Amino acid sequence: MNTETEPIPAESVATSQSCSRGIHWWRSPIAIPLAASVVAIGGLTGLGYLSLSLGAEGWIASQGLPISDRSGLMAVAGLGVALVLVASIAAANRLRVLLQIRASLLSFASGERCEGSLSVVDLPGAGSAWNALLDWRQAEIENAEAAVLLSNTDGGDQNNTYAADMLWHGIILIDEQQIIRYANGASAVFLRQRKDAMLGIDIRRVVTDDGVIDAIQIAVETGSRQKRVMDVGDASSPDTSVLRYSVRANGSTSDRSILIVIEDVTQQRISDAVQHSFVSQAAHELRTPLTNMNLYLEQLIEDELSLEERGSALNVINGEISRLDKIVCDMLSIAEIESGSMHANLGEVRMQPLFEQLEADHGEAARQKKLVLTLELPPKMPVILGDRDKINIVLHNLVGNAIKYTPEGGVIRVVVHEEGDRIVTEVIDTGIGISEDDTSRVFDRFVRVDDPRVAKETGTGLGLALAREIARMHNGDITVFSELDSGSTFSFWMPIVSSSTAQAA
Amino acid sequence: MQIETELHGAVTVLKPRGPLVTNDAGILREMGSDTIADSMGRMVIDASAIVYLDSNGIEALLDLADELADAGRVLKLCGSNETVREVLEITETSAMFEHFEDVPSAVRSFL
Repeated sequence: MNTETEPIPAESVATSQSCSRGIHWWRSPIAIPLAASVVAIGGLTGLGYLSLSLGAEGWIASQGLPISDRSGLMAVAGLGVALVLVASIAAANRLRVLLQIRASLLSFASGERCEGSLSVVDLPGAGSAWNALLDWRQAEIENAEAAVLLSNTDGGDQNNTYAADMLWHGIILIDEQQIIRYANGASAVFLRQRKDAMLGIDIRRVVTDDGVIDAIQIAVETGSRQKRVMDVGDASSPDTSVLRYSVRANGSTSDRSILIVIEDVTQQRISDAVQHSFVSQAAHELRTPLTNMNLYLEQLIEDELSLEERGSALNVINGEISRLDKIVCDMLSIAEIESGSMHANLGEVRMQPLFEQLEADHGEAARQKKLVLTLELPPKMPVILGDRDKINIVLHNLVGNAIKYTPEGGVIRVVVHEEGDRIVTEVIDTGIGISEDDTSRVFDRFVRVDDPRVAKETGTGLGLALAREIARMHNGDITVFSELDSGSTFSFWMPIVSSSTAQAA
Repeated sequence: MQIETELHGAVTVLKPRGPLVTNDAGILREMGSDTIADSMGRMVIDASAIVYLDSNGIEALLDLADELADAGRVLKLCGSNETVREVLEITETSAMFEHFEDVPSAVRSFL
């Protein structure tokens, strides 16, 4: 910003002050001497008449003049005194403004450039004229800044243009005819235009939103420097971006330009929506077990239950507490992963014992449901580098889901094999399956497929989301292939990185 | 070369698998360029599955970085292995990119 002292064109000063001079004579440079003269003459006259009237009263009386003549002389003397008083007050006010202007000039000379500090009491006359001069100066500075930006489009100093091109906010400058005088690279990307092709065309050819066009029109017509901000687009649609337009005018009436800043806020909008959705879903998931617990506790308190029913109620409450505990743990785990605060405690993991434990943990549940659970393991399982507990979570989630969603008499196969440098675990079931539409959603948080067969099973909707995040923590992944009513295959793979290889890396 | 595409909110993550060399580099360049246009520059390259890269691979990454620079953005790479990082350091091109440890941190940088 150029804040150096610049010579003010004489004609501009004359123009800005001419109206005031024509209307208010006291703003004339001769006003002060004239006022001083009036004060002096009035004062002297008044004092003269006063002394004359007081001192000569005796002489007048001795001369036998009539009373009316003496009253006239006294009235003239009083008028003189009043004139002196009025002139003195006016001179004092004017002198105060002049002293303030003097102080302002001295501040300016010592480097003060703030318009607020340099302005004086806005009294008619010199005070308002001085303030008008400051306003004019500020407007000229802002016009000069806008002109610098505009001049860059004509091949002038490229530094500012270069700087604007490095911004990831779109910047467009248009003139009063709404013709684009400057557009940076980001604005071209946001408006899906070629940057060079934007120069010299009407802004309405590239910006079609009515709200933005109206804001530009208002800025052009009023010259208002008040920023108008509006978001355009729909974050809920994957193909649409949300762009935030800020429109404001710059420059004077004669040379006005409009600055349009475009900001891509799509990711922020989606993030807000996800957070909102997460809180709503979490509240819902927590409320369900709490409601059950509350219900059974009321019955226990009322003491209307038999001994057997009391035991059953306590079992339900215990189950719901476990469910709450799992929800909270899963939520915390996912939050830790997303915030980057969860780290894998890497170590050598022997896969063989993991699968043996898996069979032991889920064998009974499978038998109770008359399911056939088989493990098909290679003769020699690799030792991998990973977090044993977290890998265990993934395997238990996949096998637990398979048992949960496979009807009685079904088959669940856990097939482990090596594919190049990966170890792949496939959990294949003959369960209820997942529709094609839902397949892409099953790894999202709190998502439970809209199927009555799923609804009757307890679940948090967090298990698969957590499993996939853990797999990715190990540079692996989980994929799913499923057919409704036929069964699902979840494939969990991880790279085989031995501890010796990892240490060498 | 297999290039997986995944949407994280409004950010598109491209994950090339295997070595980024010769013709594969051209595939990534083309796919990346389309993604930049479609997503208004909200793109991350998950380099965790790029085993190594040759001059074609570096050139492809630099082309995409240049394309993003026109919109005031920097190409974000995440999860690069030691080999890829060393190649970028030796060729003094590492500073042309923003580096992140993993996909979530790269995606968060768009907020």
